[in-house]
Amino acid sequence: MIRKYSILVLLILVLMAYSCVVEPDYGPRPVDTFIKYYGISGSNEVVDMITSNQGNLIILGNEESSASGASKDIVILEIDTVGNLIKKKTFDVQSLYAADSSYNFEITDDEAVRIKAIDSGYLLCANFTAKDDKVNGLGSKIFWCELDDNYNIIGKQVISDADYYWEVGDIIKSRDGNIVIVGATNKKEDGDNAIRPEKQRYLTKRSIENDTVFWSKTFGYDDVDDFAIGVVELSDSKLGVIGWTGKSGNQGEAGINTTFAIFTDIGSSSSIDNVYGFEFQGDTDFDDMVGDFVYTETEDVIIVGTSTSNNSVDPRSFPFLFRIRKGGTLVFKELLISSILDLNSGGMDVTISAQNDLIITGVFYNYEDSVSRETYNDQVLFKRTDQFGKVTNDYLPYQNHFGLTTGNDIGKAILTLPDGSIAIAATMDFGNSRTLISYLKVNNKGILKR
Amino acid sequence: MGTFEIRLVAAFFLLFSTFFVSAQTWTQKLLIAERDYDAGRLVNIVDNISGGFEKSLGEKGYTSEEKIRALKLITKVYIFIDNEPKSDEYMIKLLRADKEHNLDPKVDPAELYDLYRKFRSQPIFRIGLRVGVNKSYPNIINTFGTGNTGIVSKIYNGVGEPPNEASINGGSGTGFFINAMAERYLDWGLEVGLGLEFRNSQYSVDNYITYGDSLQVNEINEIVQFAVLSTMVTHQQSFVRVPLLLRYNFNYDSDNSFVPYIAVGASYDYLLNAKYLEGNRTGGTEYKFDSDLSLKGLDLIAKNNFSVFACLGLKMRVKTHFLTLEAKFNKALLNYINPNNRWSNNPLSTYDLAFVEDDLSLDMLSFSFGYTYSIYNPQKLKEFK
Repeated sequence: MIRKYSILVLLILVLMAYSCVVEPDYGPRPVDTFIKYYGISGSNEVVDMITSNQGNLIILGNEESSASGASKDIVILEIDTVGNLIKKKTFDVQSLYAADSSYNFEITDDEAVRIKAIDSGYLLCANFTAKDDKVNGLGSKIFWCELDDNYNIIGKQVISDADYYWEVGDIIKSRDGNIVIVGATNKKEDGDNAIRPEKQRYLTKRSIENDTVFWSKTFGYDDVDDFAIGVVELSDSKLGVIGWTGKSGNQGEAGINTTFAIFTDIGSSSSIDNVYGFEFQGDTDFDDMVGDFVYTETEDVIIVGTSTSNNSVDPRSFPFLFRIRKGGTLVFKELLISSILDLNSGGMDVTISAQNDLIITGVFYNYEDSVSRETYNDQVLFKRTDQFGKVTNDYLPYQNHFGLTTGNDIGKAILTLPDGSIAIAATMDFGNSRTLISYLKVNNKGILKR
Repeated sequence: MGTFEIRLVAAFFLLFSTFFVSAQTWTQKLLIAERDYDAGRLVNIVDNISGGFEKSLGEKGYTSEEKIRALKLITKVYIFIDNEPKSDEYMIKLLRADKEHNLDPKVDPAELYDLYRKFRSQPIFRIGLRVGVNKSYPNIINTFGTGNTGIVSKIYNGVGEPPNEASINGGSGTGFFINAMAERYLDWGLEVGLGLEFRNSQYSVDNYITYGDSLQVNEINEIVQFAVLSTMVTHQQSFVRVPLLLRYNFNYDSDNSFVPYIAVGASYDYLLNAKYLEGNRTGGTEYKFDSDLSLKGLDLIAKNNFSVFACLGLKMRVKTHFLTLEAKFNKALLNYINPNNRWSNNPLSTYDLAFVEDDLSLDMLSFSFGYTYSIYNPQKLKEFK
């Protein structure tokens, strides 16, 4: 009898033995796509994202506790490539100047704008407003500082005046070791005789050590507002300045248009100041607002932003891309729309992918799935174009959206990581004033999948 | 006494004597036959008692006990008159009438023992039906999360310490199962079984997005984690399983009313369905969860799995059948989650609940109550044919 069943028993024993040594298929797996949330109880929002000097990622943002009487602070998150929070630093301008009798700011709302990696540290710039400040005025002011690799402040400065306001757009360290800040102000600098209603482009060069002001300039067009949102130092030490203006575009586009200007290294004048805009189906009245830009190794500037029509009946909104050579030559300008049925959307940041094409993030306004007809609130946008900014049929499948079914989510920053995957920093809205900073790592097809 | 009275008494005598004879016929005949057998008068025994098996007699025929005695007697008679085919035939009838019939060494002759051993008296297999409850023990293999997984862990089935300003909402992770198994006794107390099982189980996960802040504990400032967003999901899954087991019965003998046993086995598990039974969020606005979301449809869960198990149980004999009580621990060998789709196909939980699945094997502790029905087919063993 035993012999009769010996095969069966042997089979069971083999199965059991196999179960003891079986190598499960989960094994070590690369954690290469994911989503992470960061923040405190309250609102947390993304402003910018860069690669740190140690090869990690830095997300710059703002946070405001839900506690009564809280104010908005600047926050820096350093995360590793798998999303683990390594360092967190917060800055409150009021606290930073609490011991400085020359300022004595009251409670401030601080809004981070840019962080830039420099040798052995970082530059940070932000706007802040004092909630109740009779001494320093209630208008926006600029705070900027140099940080070491641990985000400790080495030097800090403010640009403040009780009678004027300043808004910062960008900050760089030029090759001569000094700081260039661009933005906007309602204070006209000496020699600026243009007629403006309010806001004009502001450029200033200062010493990083003692805030010596080498020069400060304002530029703009008569009767319209202007804003400098970005600055790059070209190889000939001239400054390329990206911004927006209310002036009509070179081809007669109405509304707010995008500008690319080249200034001398002393900010004395702009040899080139091109104004670009979009029209859609004969409608030229679009506001073309710059979201962000990248400065390529070939000294091209690729600008991404959002074109929103001023048509009150059916306002449409689409992302746009420009590529401009350092001499001001326009390589392409593209409105990222493939059909009139496209959802309203906007571009916030752009990156050059490992395949040398362009990937932008931003927002889908009131996203609706074209197949399921499921509707969402605003969703994070992922859109890929060829290197000329065209969404050809090959690139249509790479469009994707991320976010909660409710809440207004927005992608604010995007980077291409060394392994070719795409990092997106987004603000996720859980409702009831609870927003979180989110870090999504997706593949180059915009999917959370290896 | 007059003539009439004499006739009346005679009529009553005749009536009662007829009744008496007819009421005791088969019982008496069996007793007489047994006395004849004891006295060595074998010739007419079979003829005298065979009529009692007629089904048409109903209650007038043999009782169950008498039927067994009669069959056994006929078998012995045929043994001793050397009619082997008939002795075999009635041994089979005996074993059908009295499953696993026990011979009595004080009464039964060695020849009957010799014949008995040539027949299959044990059940050809048994059918067991068990129902029970299970409790899941998710065994975490790799941790993934939308929070800082290096600092704050998820809480499974409500067991763990939540961060500050958060609570545990998860349940205990209990489910149920029903199992049918065909079992066959081998020898030496060993049995093998192959079955089919439907298992419904649950596990709950509390997930936390936190931030670190200082808190004074015993006058010492410590960095502790505060919850920013807390979410909970209850994960429900149903499997159809094909378990194969090897069981060892202690003191496996028909004389023992209680038979403790241990068993080990392996099972193929096929996922029928998986979904989030409930999900909620603390932080932000109230969240409406879509409980119709099929995780199997999203290919988030591995459809095929294998598991091993070990059991400890007790059988309680009911005639030739058993009532069973069993405790079983089941360990899944493969990842419950399909890691390829961990992030890609689950928009509701990943974004709205800020939740993502860990790699885990879904282990179970279960308790069951069951009934095992024995099925017999007595036959002469091949080697004696």
